[in-house]
Amino acid sequence: MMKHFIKHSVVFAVGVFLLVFIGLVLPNNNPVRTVDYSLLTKHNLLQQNKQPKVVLTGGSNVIFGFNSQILQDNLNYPVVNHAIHAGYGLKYIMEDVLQFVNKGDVIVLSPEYSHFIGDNYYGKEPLLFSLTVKPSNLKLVSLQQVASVSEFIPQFSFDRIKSFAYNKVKNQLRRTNSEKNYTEFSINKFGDHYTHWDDKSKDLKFYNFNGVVNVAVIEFLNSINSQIKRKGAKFFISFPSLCSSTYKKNKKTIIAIEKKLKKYGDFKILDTPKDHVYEDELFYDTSYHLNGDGVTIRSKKLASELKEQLK
Amino acid sequence: MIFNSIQYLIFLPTVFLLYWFVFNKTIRLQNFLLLVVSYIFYGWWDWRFLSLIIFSSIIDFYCGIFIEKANQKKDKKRWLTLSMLINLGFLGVFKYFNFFSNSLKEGLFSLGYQIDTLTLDIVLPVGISFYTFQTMSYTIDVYREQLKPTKDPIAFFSFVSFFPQLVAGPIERATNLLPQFYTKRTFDLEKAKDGLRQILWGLFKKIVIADNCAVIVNEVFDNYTDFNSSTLFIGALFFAFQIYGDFSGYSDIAIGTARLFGFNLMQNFAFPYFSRDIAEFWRKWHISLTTWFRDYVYIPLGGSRGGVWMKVRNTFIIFIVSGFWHGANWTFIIWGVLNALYFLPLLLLNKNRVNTNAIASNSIFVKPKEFIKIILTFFITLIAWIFFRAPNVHSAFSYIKNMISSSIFSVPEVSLKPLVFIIVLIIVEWFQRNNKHGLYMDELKMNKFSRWLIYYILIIFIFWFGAEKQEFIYFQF
Repeated sequence: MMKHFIKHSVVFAVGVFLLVFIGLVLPNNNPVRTVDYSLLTKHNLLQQNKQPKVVLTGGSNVIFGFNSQILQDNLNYPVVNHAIHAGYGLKYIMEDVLQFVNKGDVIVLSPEYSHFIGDNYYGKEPLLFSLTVKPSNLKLVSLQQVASVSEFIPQFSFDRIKSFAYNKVKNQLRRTNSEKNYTEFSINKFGDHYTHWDDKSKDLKFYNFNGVVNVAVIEFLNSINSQIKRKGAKFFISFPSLCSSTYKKNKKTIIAIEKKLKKYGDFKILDTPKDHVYEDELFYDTSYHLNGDGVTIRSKKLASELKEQLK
Repeated sequence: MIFNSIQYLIFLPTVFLLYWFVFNKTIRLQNFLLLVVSYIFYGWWDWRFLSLIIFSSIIDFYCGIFIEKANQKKDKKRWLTLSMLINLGFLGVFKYFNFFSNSLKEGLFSLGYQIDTLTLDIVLPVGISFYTFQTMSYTIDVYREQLKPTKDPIAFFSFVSFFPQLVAGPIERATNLLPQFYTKRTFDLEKAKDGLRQILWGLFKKIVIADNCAVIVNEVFDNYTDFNSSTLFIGALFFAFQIYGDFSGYSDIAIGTARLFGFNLMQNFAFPYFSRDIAEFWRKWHISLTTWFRDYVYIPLGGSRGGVWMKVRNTFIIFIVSGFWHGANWTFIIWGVLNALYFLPLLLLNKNRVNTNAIASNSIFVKPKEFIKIILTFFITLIAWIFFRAPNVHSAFSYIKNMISSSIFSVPEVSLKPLVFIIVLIIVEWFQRNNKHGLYMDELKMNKFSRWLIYYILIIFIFWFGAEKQEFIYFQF
């Protein structure tokens, strides 16, 4: 009886694993690759720029938050926007950028607030996507991260199957507005997402990231700061852009994050969360993604904050 | 550790194999394994909370023995009181302290006095309301001489911490579950297969129904002033199914898991949204808690034996306590009061046991009159759920007020995708309404190919349509 049960359970489970496996090995047949693929371009930018440079990093609040030309003009430093997606997790984002830090560089991190809650800094499903873009980055992923993101594997696999089926059905590519943004071609020569700058704002997504602040994230940032310092570079934190509606909803958590950053962090913090809270009208589609006008305001603000530090 | 996690996917088969192949020599060994793995399961959240559950188990284990040993009634009562005080004391400190402290402060402030009350920065231990009620049922039953106290600490500690139902029920009675820890468990193929089916159905309800509804519900309840009436109605409707999918899904996984180990847990949900009146709804919703309150609070208070006022008083007490059990917030208390108000007319008119027969027992379709009753019952529970979900009483009233306007006939401003899943759920559960769960199968009537096809379709559904993982709602209670 028991043998029968175990045999059938194993056969059934193998079937499920096969289903998941199929999704993982399916080729990416999307004619327009997503913005995740801009990682390769960004790595090239970081590698090519040997002279001291300003590197902006973080999640999508950064890729959607700056016009690096403004920063470059104000600071007289070359600027690279390294950020792509908060879902990669702060750990992966920082360890990825660390590979390219040289003497004299200035690393400015704007982490999303959700990175400080629970174990979000280990990353979520997008991390798996990034690893398919650059498999050699697997070396950056710790066992704890593997444990944390492994639960997203089935979902990730089925998302790939869905995408594969969708692209198969779609006979020919039509370049609609939705395909203009969030693609690997949506970034400018600095790595900023720029194709949405002239678009009208869409319905904003508001977030709720209330939760317990994880001090381990700040300890991790302390260790990153030490490593950056050892390389002869500088490390700063600037708070992310956030629309005022989401700020109001999550004020308590944001204040708690700021307090803990100040209490436990060994690094320089350039501003306060309120400095980068902007009216909802200055955002494009989410509480973090600024539109063209917002990008200009934030870029000028950061340029002046950095100017003070780099005197 | 939560049921819909990769950790549990590894944990469950490992424990299963150890239980039936390594620790199968004696019941004591199996109980010992269950105790260790239950503590690992619970400690996965925060190992510090293990001390609470261990302490609570020690107290109730010895209270049970001392109650039996005591010769005098008053001595027995003393031990029972000690057990109650400690268990309710834990609940009071961890769950209700800040509520009472803040309520006192606000109450005095409204009278013109300003005081500084102490509030504690306490994290609520997961499942404390569930295991506390379970252990209390043990000492009460021993006191009532309905159960002999156990002298086997491993069996008792395993009973208190039994991992499938530890954090969100069903709240088992000692009289049902504890004896199962003394008797030899044999592997029953049919029971195990049905257990796996129940787990699969529970996962479907949690991941596809509840988690998809949760995305919309959170958006609507967080921004209810920005949406039109029809959207608010959809938000409340989705919450009704979110909480059902979430909680009954958890119960299905718990019951199914227990069956894999040879245990029978009580049914916790019996398709409550097909109820024809609120009394029937409460016989089918969170059955383990409802019957707990009935047996340990309502009946000792006199139940419905006394006069009208006694009936009214007891009904209000039971529903308010039930609301308060869910959380230290006035919203839960109002939710309880509302349900009492719904229930009272049935009780006073002696119609609370009218709908005890199976619905549409000889037909596929329900009669129009019964259909209307189902819809009306669902609608009044939906109104009560708004209080349950809202962050405070003011928001709940505003939500309901905003929901009643001419824009109720306009197009909802949120995605209606979860509606498709809800319809699937309703259809499946309607056809299974006379069985124990939504994926019950008579193997004599269905061949293996069809059964496996259904399993795979469900799994594809779960992976394909599963929304971002949300914590089980009842963990917070």
